[in-house]
Amino acid sequence: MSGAPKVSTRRMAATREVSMPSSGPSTTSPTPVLSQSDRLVPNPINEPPSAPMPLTSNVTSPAFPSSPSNPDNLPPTKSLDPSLAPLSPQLPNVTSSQPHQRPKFDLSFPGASQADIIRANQKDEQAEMMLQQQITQVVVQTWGTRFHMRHGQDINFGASLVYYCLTTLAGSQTLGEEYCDIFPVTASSVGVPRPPPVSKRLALVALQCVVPYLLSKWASALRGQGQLAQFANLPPQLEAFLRAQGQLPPRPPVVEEAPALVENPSIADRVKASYKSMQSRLPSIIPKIRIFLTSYVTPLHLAIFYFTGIYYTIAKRLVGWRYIFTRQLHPAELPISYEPMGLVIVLQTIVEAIRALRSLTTLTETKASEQGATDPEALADVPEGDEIEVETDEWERQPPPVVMSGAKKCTLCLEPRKSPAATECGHVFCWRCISEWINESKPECPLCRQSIKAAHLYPLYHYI
Amino acid sequence: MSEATLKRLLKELRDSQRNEAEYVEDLHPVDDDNLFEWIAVVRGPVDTPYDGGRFEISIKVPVSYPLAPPTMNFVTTVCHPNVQFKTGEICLDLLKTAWSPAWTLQSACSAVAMLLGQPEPDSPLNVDAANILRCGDTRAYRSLVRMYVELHAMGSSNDE
Ligand SMILES: [Zn+2]
Ligand SMILES: [Zn+2]
Repeated sequence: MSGAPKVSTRRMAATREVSMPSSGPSTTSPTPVLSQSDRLVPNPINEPPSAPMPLTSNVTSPAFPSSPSNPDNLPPTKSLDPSLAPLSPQLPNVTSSQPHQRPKFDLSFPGASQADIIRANQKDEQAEMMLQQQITQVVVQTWGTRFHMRHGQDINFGASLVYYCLTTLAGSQTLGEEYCDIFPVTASSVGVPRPPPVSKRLALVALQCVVPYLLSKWASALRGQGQLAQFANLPPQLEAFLRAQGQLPPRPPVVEEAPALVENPSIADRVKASYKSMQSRLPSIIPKIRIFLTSYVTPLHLAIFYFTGIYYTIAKRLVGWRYIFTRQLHPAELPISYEPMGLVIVLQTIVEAIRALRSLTTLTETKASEQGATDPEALADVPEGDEIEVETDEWERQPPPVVMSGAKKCTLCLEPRKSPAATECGHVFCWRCISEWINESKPECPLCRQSIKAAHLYPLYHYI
Repeated sequence: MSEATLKRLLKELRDSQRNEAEYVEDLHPVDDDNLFEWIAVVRGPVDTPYDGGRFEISIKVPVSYPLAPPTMNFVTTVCHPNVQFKTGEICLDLLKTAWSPAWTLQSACSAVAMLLGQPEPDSPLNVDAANILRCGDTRAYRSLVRMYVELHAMGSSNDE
């Protein structure tokens, strides 16, 4: 009666990741069971060794992130098993008998599986989008569509900011994390996984919400400047016309720049000038950077996630934001690996990079050949262009085909259509001609014989 | 009699003088003052026993034209399963039930000429010709038709 339940509880505890090496003297009979369960529970986190999750030394702390120093050895509030409680009174005995050799208790929480991290992320995106849509609806109903058109990006940003401030920043799980039962912890705290402190939460919200928004704002502002720079190459009359029309902002005063160039430029001026030149070049560079990010950096990061299974987004990697399970894993659900997908992504990225490089080299080659075009080639080009011109001229000289002239005629009165009307079959006649035909003869289309009704004639406005 | 009908007939006259339709050699009102009676001359289609013949058609236009079809009769004697031998009445659905105002006098004449090459022995006005064709004696049919063509359609053209 007394021994049996202990063994069973111990075994349960062991399966709940209290791996107990065979050092304890009183645990002679359960040892094989424990070792077996050890095999059942693999190393929960396939992580690089730099950030070990296992809790090795302090057994009395129940290793629950929200209550790292639980003095009463109370079972953790959430899913950690209550069977640990009867086990803990024994532990001092174990340690006291061999004071120098402290037993290693792997009380760690398993790292969240890749599937759950992805699922939580998708759930969060969904919730974020729902919030955005609802806020958008409210905005449209109160301020109208035009306001939304102008500020849609800001509204979406506000919605996601609200979402992450209410969840992540407030220190609670997001909806997706809660749905998947995963808890955010910080990577840097060795030993005990701790819930991320306020600074980290703030950093994560900033990185995944605020920074992208600000960057896109900046990029769009620069793009606007780039368009202005394109206008600089306009013919002066057109530019003046556009300025008069208000399509272009008034020309900035150019007079100030001239003396600045003459004088000896100070360092601040130089910095300013370099920034200006960079700014003028940025609009053309930014799309390339974006393409580079979306086609190489993001997929490669995803591949890394598939290999290691920790940081799903770059923002979370930068902050060191990882997830643990607080529930027990079934042995069956453990060995899910996305490594093949990671491999596929890496291969795809490599292939794409090679293709991009090849096209880049061919582009430069053609550019070089264009620049170094010799006269015969240039001459060979000219007749081609002439031929095309001649062709178009001939085509223009040809009388318009009969269909074109007949297209605007009514087939009933053979005259240009007056107040055109379309039948259901899509043929167009004068309203009067076709309605007369329907009413006085038979209700079918004179051209295709599909049956039609006078009530189903459609007047065509602004149609010649 | 509506203005629209007159307008359309005038238009058709102008168009027929400008563009020729297949097999239609001539199409004009009998009288310049009367646009409701026309005369047409069509040619027999090539590769048929009617080839080389010229056939005169009289056209009567109803006042409700183009809502109602014109009446057409062969003036020239024609031996054809769908043409009444004595009156020259033509059995062609588009001149009766299948009429559509999208047809013009000219295109209708063209269709009549086409009918010469594509007899329909199942709805005959000339039972004798239709029977010969139904028996499958095409040789007899062709020679009979040819005889009448040479008797009426070619001689008259030469005379005129
Ligand atoms: Zn009309
Ligand atoms: Zn139709």
